[in-house]
Amino acid sequence: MKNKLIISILVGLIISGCCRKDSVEIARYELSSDELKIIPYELGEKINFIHSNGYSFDFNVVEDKIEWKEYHDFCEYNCCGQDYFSYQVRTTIIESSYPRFNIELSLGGSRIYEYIPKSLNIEINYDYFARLPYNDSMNFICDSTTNTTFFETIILNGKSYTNVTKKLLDTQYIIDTQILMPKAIYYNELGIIQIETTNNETYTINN
Amino acid sequence: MNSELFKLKQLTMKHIQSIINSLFIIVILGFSSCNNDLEGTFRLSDEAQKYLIDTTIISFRMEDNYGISEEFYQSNIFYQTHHFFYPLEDAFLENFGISYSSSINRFYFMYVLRADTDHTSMEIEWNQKDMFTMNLNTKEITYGVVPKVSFCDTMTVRNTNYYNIIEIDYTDNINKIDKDTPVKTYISGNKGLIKFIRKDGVILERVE
Repeated sequence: MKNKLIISILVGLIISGCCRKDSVEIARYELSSDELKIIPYELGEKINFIHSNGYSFDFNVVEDKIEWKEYHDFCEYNCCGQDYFSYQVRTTIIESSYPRFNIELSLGGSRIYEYIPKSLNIEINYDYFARLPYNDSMNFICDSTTNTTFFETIILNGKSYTNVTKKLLDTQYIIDTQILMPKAIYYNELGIIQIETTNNETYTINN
Repeated sequence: MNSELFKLKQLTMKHIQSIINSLFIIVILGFSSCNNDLEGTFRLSDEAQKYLIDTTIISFRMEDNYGISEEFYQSNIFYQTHHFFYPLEDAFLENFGISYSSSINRFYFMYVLRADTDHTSMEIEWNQKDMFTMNLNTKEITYGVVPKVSFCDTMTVRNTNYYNIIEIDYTDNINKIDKDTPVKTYISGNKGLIKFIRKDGVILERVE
């Protein structure tokens, strides 16, 4: 009798611990067609680049996907039936075999962070990062706090480019800032048009 | 009949007793041999002393044959402590290791020397893709895709002389190594990585 009572209490506790309330989606944030155009690359595309000393190489667009993700607030206790929202993320990856670049561009979120609205995120070789926030007109917000500069026209590697945004790159893994590394990225409607390094070598689109 | 049965029983008991005694002796001998734990301090060989890379070199620049610069820096993913004695049973085995990452191309290079009870081994790894181990005493490759490993006194790279050179050549097994593992690697015993040649023909050389 005593054993049956203990078992009944245990079963009751287990059943009461189950979550029977569904999570509720309270919002959906879809990337607009204008936002999607911020990343101009298509899967399978090749983009030719040239180093400042003349070496020519291709970037290949190896991944381009749009997916829905869910954002849940952090919850430690009583998380049953928690509200959440859904958001769209576009991730595009371009790679070159030599120099060995792996560059991930994303809208709506990034590999490391979850929901990042109205931002183009660029990650180079998992070590160098840039976040370019944009406004409702799809123009990048350029000011001293974002370390972003806008050029109506700029000459890069002997060619003229318009509406270019220059963003200084951050790194969190390489502590010694004297080391040669990518320093800044230049971006416009063509996508990445130049990567500049700390010793002023450049990798520029060759179009 | 009864006496025959009794004799048979006695004989069987004697055999069983002999078997038990033999087993007992074997077990005792077995346990007594397990008590010989490894003891002592085992150091890197005299030859290996020539290949202890200077760990105060935190970073170094390289340039390829197209004028593209690269920089290797101590990565501290492994071998943050470069030189130590590894405890094994009651013994200590001398170890030396250093690893570098590169800031433009994401190369990763690791170099290790390990003392064993009767030899020193050298391990070289590229990009966490290809690693080989060599017995420095016998020059036999004991692990990994087999390269040709040769040693020479000096080598000049970009007008700088380097000494105690190790050359690792995967030419004969080029199809077995990763696309980013260099076909040839040159290491200076004191300065470390000084030159490597990729499958695509790109040559990176140390710049002092």
